[in-house]
Amino acid sequence: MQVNVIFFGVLSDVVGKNMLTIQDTGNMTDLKSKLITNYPNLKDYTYRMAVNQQMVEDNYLLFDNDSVAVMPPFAGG
Amino acid sequence: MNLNKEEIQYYHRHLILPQIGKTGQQALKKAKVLVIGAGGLGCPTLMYLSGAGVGRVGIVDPDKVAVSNLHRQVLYGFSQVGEFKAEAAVNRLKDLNPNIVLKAYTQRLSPENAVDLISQYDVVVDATDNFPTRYLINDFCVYLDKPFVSGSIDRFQGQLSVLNFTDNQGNKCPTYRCLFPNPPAPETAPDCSQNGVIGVLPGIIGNLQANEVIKMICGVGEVLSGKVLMFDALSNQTMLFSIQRNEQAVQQALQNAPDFESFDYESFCSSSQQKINEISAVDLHKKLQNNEKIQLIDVRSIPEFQEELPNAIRIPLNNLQANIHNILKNDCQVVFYCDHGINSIRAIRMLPNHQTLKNVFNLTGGLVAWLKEEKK
Repeated sequence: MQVNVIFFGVLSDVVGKNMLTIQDTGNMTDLKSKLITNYPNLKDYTYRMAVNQQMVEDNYLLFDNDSVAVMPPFAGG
Repeated sequence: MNLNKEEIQYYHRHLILPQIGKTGQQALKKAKVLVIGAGGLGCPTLMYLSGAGVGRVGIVDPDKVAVSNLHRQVLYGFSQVGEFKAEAAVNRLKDLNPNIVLKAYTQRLSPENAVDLISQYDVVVDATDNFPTRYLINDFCVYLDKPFVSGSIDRFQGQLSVLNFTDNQGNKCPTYRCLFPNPPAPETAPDCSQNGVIGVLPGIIGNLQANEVIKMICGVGEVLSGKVLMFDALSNQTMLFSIQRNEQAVQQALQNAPDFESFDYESFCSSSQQKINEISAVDLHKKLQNNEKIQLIDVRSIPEFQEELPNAIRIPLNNLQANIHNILKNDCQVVFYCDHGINSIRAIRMLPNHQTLKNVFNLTGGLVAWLKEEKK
């Protein structure tokens, strides 16, 4: 199974792109650790994750083709 | 709250809208809205709330108009550079709508004045540019039970949500801490002065904030509560994400009540894992006067201010990686600086083993703090 992940704000700089496809993830914790393995700098950042446009917690179970969004708080005003 | 002849003419286009009409316009006239921050987001919010006829508009901002503000803060012009934003805004808005009451507050919102300021208003607009104030607004709005409209921007993207709203069934809705329980490390969340911003973006997000305030006051449409809107100006994509209220996070906002004055929002929002040595402008001044050997490194790529520190080497952040070996080979003290002291932290974090480098410092507050110190 695979999920599509989009990144907002400064996180797209950390990852180097706005969108990724990640294979074989079970829940959000798995996905997070996969992302941090691939992009170690991510661990310094604060962000929330949403699945199919709903903010979720780490134990949330992922399904094939789920759409995940990773968003940091923005400072600017 | 009856409308006089002049007001009926002024608000004619609202009055003929069935969704607003006389009742909505009277509700707007009765309403009191506090806009915190009169910068990129605050300017459009203030213009449209004033035009819409919000009866009392408070404007909190301790900053003065600068030339680098004008490309997006279109409420001001060259003739207001150097004036307090809150006062310049009141002068412009009085001309836009003489039927409303405008009040300028030129002090920074702080735990000491927040209860007094916020309690005088019905709705708050968070149009600030920093996390200490964002958490402060959240906590005091939760404490005083006021809804607030939060807007924030990053380069080409914006975030918007109505927070701490009570819906018409009496349900309490999510707060800023339900969305982001903890603030980011400052160097991971640069603001517009460090990262840039397309001028129209705060125009779009600020107008959406004004729109939410008006909908809330008039009781029309669907208020953006329990949801966050993300807007991307490059793709025109708008996405809505639903969020849940988190009672534990709400309680965190209240944990210091009613002794909020003792809570230090600045240190709450500075990173706990940050092990970077800081040096203040005062101390750097002293060291240089004592002829201590200090290598100054300016990491700005496009400086906002033309001034430089004496004998500084310019190595823009994006060239730093290639030049790192040249910087740290001698063992004199090294001070990194930029305009505001954030990009220089990012520079230090790029150094290998930065946590063990005892002679590397960040100039706190950057050149802005240095220039302030020089003026004294």
